[in-house]
Amino acid sequence: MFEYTVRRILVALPAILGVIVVVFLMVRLAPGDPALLLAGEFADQETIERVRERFGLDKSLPEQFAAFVGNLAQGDLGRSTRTNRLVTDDLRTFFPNTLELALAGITVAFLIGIPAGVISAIRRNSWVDAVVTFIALLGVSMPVFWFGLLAILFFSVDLGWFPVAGRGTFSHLVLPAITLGVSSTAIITRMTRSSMLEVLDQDFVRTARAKGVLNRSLIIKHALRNALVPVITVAGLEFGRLLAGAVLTETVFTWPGIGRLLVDSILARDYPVVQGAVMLIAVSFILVNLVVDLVYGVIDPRIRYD
Amino acid sequence: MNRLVRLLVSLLAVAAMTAWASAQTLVIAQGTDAITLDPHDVTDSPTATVTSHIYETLFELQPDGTIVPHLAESYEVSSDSTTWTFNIREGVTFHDGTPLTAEIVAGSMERFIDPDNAFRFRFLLDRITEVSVVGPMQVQVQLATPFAPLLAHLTHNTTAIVLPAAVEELGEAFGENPIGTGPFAFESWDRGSRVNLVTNENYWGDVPAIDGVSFLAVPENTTRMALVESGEAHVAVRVPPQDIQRLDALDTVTVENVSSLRTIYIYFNHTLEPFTDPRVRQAFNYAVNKQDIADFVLGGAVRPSDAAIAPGIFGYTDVGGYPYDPERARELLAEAGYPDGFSTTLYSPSGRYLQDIQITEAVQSQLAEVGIDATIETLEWGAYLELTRQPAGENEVPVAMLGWGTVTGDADYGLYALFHTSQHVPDGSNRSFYSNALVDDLLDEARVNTNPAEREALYEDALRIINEDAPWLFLHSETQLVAVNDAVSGLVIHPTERVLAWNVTVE
Amino acid sequence: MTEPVTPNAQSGAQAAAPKRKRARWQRRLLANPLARFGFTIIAFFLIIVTFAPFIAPYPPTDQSLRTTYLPPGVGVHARGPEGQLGIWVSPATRTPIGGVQVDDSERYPVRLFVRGEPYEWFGGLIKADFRLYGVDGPVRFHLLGTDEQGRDVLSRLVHGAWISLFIGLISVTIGVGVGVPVGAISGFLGGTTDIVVQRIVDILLAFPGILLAIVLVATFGTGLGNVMIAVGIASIPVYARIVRGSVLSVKNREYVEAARAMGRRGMPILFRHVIPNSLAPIIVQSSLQMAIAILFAAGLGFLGLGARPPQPEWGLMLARGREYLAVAPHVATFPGLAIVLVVLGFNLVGDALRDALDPRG
Repeated sequence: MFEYTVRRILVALPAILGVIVVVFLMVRLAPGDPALLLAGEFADQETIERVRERFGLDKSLPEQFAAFVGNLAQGDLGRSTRTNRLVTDDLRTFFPNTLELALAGITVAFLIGIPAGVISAIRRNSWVDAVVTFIALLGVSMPVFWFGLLAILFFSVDLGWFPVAGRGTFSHLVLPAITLGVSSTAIITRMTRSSMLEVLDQDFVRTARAKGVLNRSLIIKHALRNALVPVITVAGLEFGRLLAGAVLTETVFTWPGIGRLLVDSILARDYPVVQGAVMLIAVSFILVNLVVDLVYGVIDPRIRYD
Repeated sequence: MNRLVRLLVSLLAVAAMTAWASAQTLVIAQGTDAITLDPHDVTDSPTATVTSHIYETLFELQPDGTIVPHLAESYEVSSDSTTWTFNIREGVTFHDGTPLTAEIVAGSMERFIDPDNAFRFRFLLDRITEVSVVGPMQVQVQLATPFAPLLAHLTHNTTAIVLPAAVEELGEAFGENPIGTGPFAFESWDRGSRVNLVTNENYWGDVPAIDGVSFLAVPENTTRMALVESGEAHVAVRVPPQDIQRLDALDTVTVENVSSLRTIYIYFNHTLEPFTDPRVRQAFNYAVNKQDIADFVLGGAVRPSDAAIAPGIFGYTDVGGYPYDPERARELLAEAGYPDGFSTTLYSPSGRYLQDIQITEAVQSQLAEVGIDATIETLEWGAYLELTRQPAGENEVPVAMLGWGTVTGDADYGLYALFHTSQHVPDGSNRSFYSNALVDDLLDEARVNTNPAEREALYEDALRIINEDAPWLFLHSETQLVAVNDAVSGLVIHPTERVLAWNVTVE
Repeated sequence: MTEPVTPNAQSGAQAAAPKRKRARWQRRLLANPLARFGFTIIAFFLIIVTFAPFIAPYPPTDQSLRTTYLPPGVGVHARGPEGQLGIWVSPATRTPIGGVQVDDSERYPVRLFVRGEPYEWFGGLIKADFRLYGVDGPVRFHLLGTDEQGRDVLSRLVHGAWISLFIGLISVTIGVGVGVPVGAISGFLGGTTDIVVQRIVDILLAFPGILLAIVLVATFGTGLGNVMIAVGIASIPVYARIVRGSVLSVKNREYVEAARAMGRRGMPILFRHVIPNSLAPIIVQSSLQMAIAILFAAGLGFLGLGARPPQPEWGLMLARGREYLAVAPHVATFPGLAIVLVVLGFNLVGDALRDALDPRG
């Protein structure tokens, strides 16, 4: 298992490296000069040249890349061209916020998705199943930002139940978590349903039924335990997606997360921050996938790591 | 389940109490977070708003346009107008207790004009050749040539006085640990969401009546307005015009409308056909109904332009502008050889200025009425700047919207960089490649003449010629719409697009 | 914004499909009421796309600053000046300070099948002026109100339908066109090719879709074309994975072995036997991808990176309308509902397809 873990990490390395190179090139090839953005719409040529020099933007691409890799080896991601702050500090500030939001989002998805999926599976092909499926698919069909804004206008402004925006107390977390969790809820609902159906179809459940075990809740409990394995896998992948895909939710609720940092930095052509944020997102995405795989193995010993 | 509900209720109660306990802290919701708290490095209004509470400048531009001494107590000018001596105010201390001296002021100015630091607003003071300390509380600056708007430039928030020792000591971290002389001192900064300041009890002027100020960063308009509606913020800037009436109707909120020194315009590229012909440019001006745009797209909150700069700027005169006259526009187009109009591309930013893209769409539709078929092209800001800044010959942008804030309140800043021939992009900011020798002479002369009355006359002449030449489609001067809770009084909404809470009281 | 509802669609590698079985899944699909609902939505959507200028009462970019964000129903009466039944419309104008003035003294009837402004359709193939409804008089009837430029919301929705359809279709085409061959070749050849391809797919997958799309649009510029391409590229890795999975599971089946034994090699086997058997998960994914693409485009529009005004793209309409949520909620509500409905349609169909194709069901 240890060997497997190491190998998985080694395999992930080229992917991370690839991500870095691609991002490094893409942000630099994009139209829009960071020096121009920093110097503003009415700067003279001289100022722009100086700004360019100040951030090493006057060097050639290979030189910039060499400097970047060299610093990276020492754990230095450079300084933001926009705020002059250490990129590592920025990531340390913004990433935990996103982590908090994503955890809350996936919790919402679990709390609603699993019971809904179980009910849907038990009452397969009934109207209950249809309604649950319909609502789940409706949830996944809504533009996130629209849902978020409607939630703010209704729950915060009209009813005054939750704060409008910002981060801090538990009540600040409720609406963003629900908004972010909606699509994952739908996915977990659907996954729980199909996984439950599969288990309910398996021999041991049939046997139990045939033997006259009439305790329905016992059967469900037993089946659910087995059905959860693929659900956890999906939930893990969903979690990875939420970590990186929270941009829209973060924007609507003014959540100071990594997604917003990244989009702002892309728009400001803040190369060091874009590189750092993308790297962090990619690494955490790959790590989450790895953990999911390992957990999968622990729950289901039939999986062999080879 | 019950326990969960109880838990929720208690958590909400705690949240509510925290909010109440800090009621004396003024909460201002802005569109973006501060970028850096190094005042010399500030480039945007939300950041300038924050640093203006921490740092102070030698002179202060009052909202009515007059310039008053601030950290400087008085000044003297040599007869040839090239040597200026500033007497520094006594009894001013920085937040860490360091008293303000001439040495500190000189060090701060030197840092600002040091070319190696590459501060964006360095040009404000780049005519200073030497800064010297001539007494414990006296600083003298030497100019290469007489420069009339110097005092106006010394009111700009980026010229604020910093503590050179702190710059030295903190190095790159200076921007995160500001120490100024202002009425509020830095407390904490949650990146991406808020900056907290506390009142400076040792302030040399009137100590603010509130305990502190917090600046929230809320990019989404709907969310920002919701904050002030729900009472979570006292002030919200950049109110969308369509929300004015609704917010005003609330018992707790009033929308303040203060005109800004920013002019919004659409310029023509004078190197591209058919914009070399003044009749075509004038036709655009006649074809667009600026009053309707002001009334219906901007909620009646802005003022259609009658000159290239806004009222409130030194040197402004009403030179007429262009009335809405589509008939005249068609005639001019026909005279210019385009009786059936022509096609062009209209570049527009999106989300940079108040309702920018909505305005562009309205302009496009009105141009269509006189036969001009304009396709709208929007780019994100970075690409927009780059594209509109290409040198003549490579610049393919025919017509584009921009806004220009004359933050010093002096016409020199508003006209020279935009209309002088020497300022064609990429060297300057004259993106339209407008060139008129008469205007060049007038602007040059007004720059060195130190007689205010004569300068005003020179600018009036320049504005008249510019109006006649129509290098721009003149639109309007922008306004600052700020939603303020009625419990707040004494808030200053400055024409330089800053919200100042120096004298605020909260009931 | 969303991944396929059940990400392990690829595991549903389908057995060789004898005709009898195919008939059964079709029956299963049509027996599902949710699927029927989904098909109905899509059919409705296609009808609107096809007959857009006939259904829309006005050109989608016709604007008037005097009629900005009028709510639906303003100036509409159920009776005419002499008490006649029907829909009658009075002129309504917005005043600068934000109020709406209705001149009730004038009323004009709304009629079905009227001659309106002429239009061209299918690239000028059809020229007509016949419209579904219109007002017999000098006013306009805005069934769903007007937007912030005084444009008829319904007309914009109807004219914008094809854009959403195209965003979906083109991104699916790109995803299928690149992802399927790449995944198939990768799975079929195995070895080094497979490893290299899979690492590239890893790189793409490590960028969650919306971020990838944002980076691509920032690099190549905003605009509809680039949005479609960006969303398409973002979907490539998903297809590549799905197809590779099913290729791997089909590769060693008897009939492929048999084809090999008969001396067929490489590509012909891949195209004759392997790819057709991966079709089911591709179809399922494509239906879900249509939904994802439309949502992605809306998200990009929200961030200001999507379609360009005054294009009546739904995501852009929703993104712009959100500024008016508090004063004129209809401006954002109708495009929002349109997006939800169409996306729901594709999701319902995709989900039901997967259920129907799943041998367990």
